[in-house]
Amino acid sequence: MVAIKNTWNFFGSSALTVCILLAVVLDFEIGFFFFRSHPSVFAPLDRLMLFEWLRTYGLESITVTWWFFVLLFLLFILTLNTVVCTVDSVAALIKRREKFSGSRAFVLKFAPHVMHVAFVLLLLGYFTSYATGFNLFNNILKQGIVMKVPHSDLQLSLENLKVKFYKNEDAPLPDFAGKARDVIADILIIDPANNTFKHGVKKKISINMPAFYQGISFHLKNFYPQNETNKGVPYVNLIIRKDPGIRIMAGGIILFTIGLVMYLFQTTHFNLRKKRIKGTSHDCSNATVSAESAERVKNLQEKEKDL
Amino acid sequence: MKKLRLFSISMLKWILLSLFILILFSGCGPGFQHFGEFSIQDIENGCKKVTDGLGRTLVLVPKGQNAPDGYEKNQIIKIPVKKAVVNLNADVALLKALGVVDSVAGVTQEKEDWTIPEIKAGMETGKVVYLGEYSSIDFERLKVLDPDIVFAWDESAIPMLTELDIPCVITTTKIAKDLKTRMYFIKFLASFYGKEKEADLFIARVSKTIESVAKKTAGVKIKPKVIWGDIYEKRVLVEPINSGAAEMILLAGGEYLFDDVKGAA
Repeated sequence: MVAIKNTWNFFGSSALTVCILLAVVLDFEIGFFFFRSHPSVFAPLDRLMLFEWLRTYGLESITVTWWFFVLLFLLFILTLNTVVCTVDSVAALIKRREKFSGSRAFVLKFAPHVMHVAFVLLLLGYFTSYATGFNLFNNILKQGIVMKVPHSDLQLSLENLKVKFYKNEDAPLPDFAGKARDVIADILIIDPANNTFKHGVKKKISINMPAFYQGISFHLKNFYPQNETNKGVPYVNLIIRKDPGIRIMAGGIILFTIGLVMYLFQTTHFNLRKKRIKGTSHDCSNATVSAESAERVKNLQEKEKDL
Repeated sequence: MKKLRLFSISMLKWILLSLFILILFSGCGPGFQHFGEFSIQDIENGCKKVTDGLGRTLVLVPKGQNAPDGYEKNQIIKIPVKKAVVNLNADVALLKALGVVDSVAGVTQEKEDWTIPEIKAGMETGKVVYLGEYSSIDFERLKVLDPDIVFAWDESAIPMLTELDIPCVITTTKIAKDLKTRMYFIKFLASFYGKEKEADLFIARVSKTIESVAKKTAGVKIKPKVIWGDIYEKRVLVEPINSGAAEMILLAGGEYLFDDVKGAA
């Protein structure tokens, strides 16, 4: 029991927070140099899942990637530290709820803790996506071919590909004439497991306009032809991703925004109150009232200190 | 303060222990090697999982072995390769260094453009077939040729080759290959032929030559200014400082003028 309590206190200590944050900063500084000097080791992080990268590039180039392993370890400790600190602080806050003048002031005091929970959710979301999702690059699809989407029962085909080219008159530079300016691809997603969509659901994709179906996203990476003079077979090159953590990440972002707004209200609320009370003490000629106001400011400051 | 110091020491111990374990495990396990964007990983039954210049995954299966599950037909390549179509002259030169130039059955440059005697002679006897320019390959002829593999230089060939069920490997990369990647790329090609030892000998020989040139030019006082690029009708494309070409110029005692250009080849 004592051991559990000691461990809990260790992970809840603010000294640990400071040390971990300093270590994270130092680790990132070191990582920056390795990242810049060995791009080919870190570039595959874009297409591989976290554990696959750690098992292959990570371990093979350990002299270059060790800082990344350390970073994961530090982030894990920081997450534990955040969880324990938040639980401790929230429990303490609930215990002292009677000291607050109103329920609004009490609720607003949760602002930093809401942000802490959001931070944990963001980390958890990224971890879920990179540990349990998939990221499939270079799925080249031409008309007339039905492709099976790996790790799922879905099938995919290219229905239509419309490429708009720059004309001589609208090209921003003479060299742009005849080059692609916009592309829209119609893809057909066939889902044999779903009676409604077993004949296929049509989706449009373009640059920066992915299509989504059942948690899987289809992104346009490249296409052909890119020039009016190209005579080869038209095709699209797709990235197919599954991000199981995207909802958790979105939840984290929303929660962080709520926490930030609460913090803003909390600060402005206290500042306004302080100003109002100070203003009253300046304007009032009656010495007794002034002394009362000063006392109120003092009390308020003490209360703030307590919280 | 005392707590903080104690914590720091124990933390340091944990970090050192973790690093030690990582270094200990780094030598064993994955059977993984990478050269720039290319990689080779040993998997079960003597098979190898490789990543080409585009980041596509392919699996090399020794003849007589079954391919592991989870791969499409055009991702599976039976090794050693006996018949190949090669788009880039530089790749053919490396196949010659491995002693497997006789596996080249089709090319996309005409006879006059070749300086490798085996290819010239092969084109004369009909052993090596000209398949047309890269942008307009005669796919019917390619289908008749029925190669084990096509070493292509960009993704535009993939859709038709997929339809023809011919595996394809992209041998160029988006980011310029640095000198080390250029040298070790031969190991990637060697894995398709089971010629890893020959690749190691080639790398040792080239490294020795580079070292001796670098030693001779280390003290030169006058450094010639050099640029390296291709001149096209409307533009000039130059090699960036992170390319093998630029590194070779620097090692040979030159000054590379585009040292502020980084990225794609």
